[in-house]
Amino acid sequence: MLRLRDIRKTYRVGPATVEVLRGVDLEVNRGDFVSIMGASGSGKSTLMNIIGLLDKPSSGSYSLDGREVSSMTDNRRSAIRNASIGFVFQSFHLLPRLTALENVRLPLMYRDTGAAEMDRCARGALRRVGMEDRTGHKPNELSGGQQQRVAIARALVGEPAIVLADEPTGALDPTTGNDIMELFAELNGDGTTLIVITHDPEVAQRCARRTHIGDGGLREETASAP
Amino acid sequence: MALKANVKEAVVSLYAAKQRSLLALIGIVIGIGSVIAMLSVGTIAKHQALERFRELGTDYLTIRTRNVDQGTPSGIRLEDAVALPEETKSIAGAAPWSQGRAAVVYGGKKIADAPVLGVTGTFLDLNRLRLVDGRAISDLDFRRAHCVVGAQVAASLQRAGAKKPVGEPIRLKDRICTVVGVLRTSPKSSMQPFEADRSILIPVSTALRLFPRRGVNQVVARMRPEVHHTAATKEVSDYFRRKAPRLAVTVRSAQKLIEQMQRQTQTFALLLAAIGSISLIVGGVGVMNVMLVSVTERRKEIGIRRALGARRLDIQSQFLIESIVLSLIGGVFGILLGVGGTRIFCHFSGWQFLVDPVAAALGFAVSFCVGVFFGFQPARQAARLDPIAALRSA
Repeated sequence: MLRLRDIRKTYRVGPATVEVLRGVDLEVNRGDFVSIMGASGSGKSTLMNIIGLLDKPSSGSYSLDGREVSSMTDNRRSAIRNASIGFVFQSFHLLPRLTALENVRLPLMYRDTGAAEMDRCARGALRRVGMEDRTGHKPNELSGGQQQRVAIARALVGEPAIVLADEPTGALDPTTGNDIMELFAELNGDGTTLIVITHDPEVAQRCARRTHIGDGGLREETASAP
Repeated sequence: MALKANVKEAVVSLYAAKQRSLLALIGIVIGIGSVIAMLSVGTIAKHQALERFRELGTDYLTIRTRNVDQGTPSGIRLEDAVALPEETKSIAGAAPWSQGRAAVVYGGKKIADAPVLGVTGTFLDLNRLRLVDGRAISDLDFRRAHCVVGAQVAASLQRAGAKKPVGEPIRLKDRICTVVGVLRTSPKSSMQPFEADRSILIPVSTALRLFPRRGVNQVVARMRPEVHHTAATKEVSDYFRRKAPRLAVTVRSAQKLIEQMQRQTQTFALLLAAIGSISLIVGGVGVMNVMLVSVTERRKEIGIRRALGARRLDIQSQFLIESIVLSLIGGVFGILLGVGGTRIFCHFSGWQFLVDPVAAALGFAVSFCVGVFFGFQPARQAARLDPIAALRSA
């Protein structure tokens, strides 16, 4: 479903060029629950931005649902981001002035969805993350774990092909982080495809399939490795 | 994206920064307010001018002599003035009259110092004056000591003891005149060269003896319908040049006066328009500033929205709608300010208060355009932010 082939990314830093990704290959299939683990500075954020269509690779091919997306226009990429990718961020990134329901509805505002249908989908998504009784709350009236659940509902509302989570437990205490990872496992059980980017081996341990990023490349962890 | 949701979000976000939004609004409010006030005052002034001439009619002409040398004042010969309607194509009726001034004595006491107008039988009709009592001066009163008094003179007579002014004798200079009629009070007009309420009307034949002169010095006339005032003015001037070559006459027409007034209000309106547009530019810059600050403050929100699938156009319209909403709010307050200011102006000037719906609509349109024009650049900047950098910002 998602296939990266020889993805390279270089940045210009003054006169020098830094190659952050030096030929990354990755294949994610429907129903996968993959972790991408790496230390900070390993290029995992860059890889996430490329997978999330926020950034373009310098070279290489990226196909999503059979479409080559690496060279699309900004508008097309926005539309694919809206339809196929659900973001979950470390610091939740909810809009503070909007209620939980309004935050979850946000991705549908950039589609041709009727108001009643938007509400129905948003309530459904909040039910899936166990937040159906907090629809009218603003983010500052919710705990960190609750905020992250709302953010996950927002990622799910558009029924994306992939949920892309960047350090989803990074801002939470261990117990709450554990709950979030349990929710992910549950969602994966329902057939949701998840990619979790983290530096935390314990978080990676909760994923069905684990990869490591380092030295600009990505390698798969085999079942026998520690 | 649905416009309604966008407008709602704009209102919410402007409300969240209400202090800043309010400050930005001041310029717009003053700008729109002065545009509305200028248009309203212009409309009211025009209405007022027409209203004033509705009583008197716009076909009114005044003709007067200019004194060129000393000695006995020269004048228009009565017969020349009376013959005007027959001798010219543009004049329908003419009333020659002369003006003097005399103390009015009643019952041995001086009760007023009044203008004394020597008039012919056509005078009242031509000036649209009405009587409340008695009769008018007619041409049959030739050289007789009869008079018609204005409303204020009648009131003075009543205060001096004359229950019913008609039939009472009053003394003007050395003549005793009998009051034969009382005028109804009439509004003062800038066009009419006399004040009927305070005047005393006597036959012109009597007046020319009381105040010796060679002819009348003034004529009021009415034009025939469908005649343009410049043609009438020219014909009348030519007529008098022909009849009395040594006489200099000035012809004024109500229509010309209206045109002059309109030109004057136009100049005034242009001045206000200039003030209005300067404050609108200041207001617009205020809106632009608020929007630029808003874009900087909400970089993260922009990043989030972009990540969730907003296209550049979606972001751009979101911020553009916000600046339009801001300007329209300013516009509404500006319209209220303008209408309120006009109301106060009318209260103190005694003019009739009107609201010009065109002005209000224009106020809306102008504030909308200010929002679009000054919101465009900030909105474009928001749309062009790099989503990754925007997400990373605090």
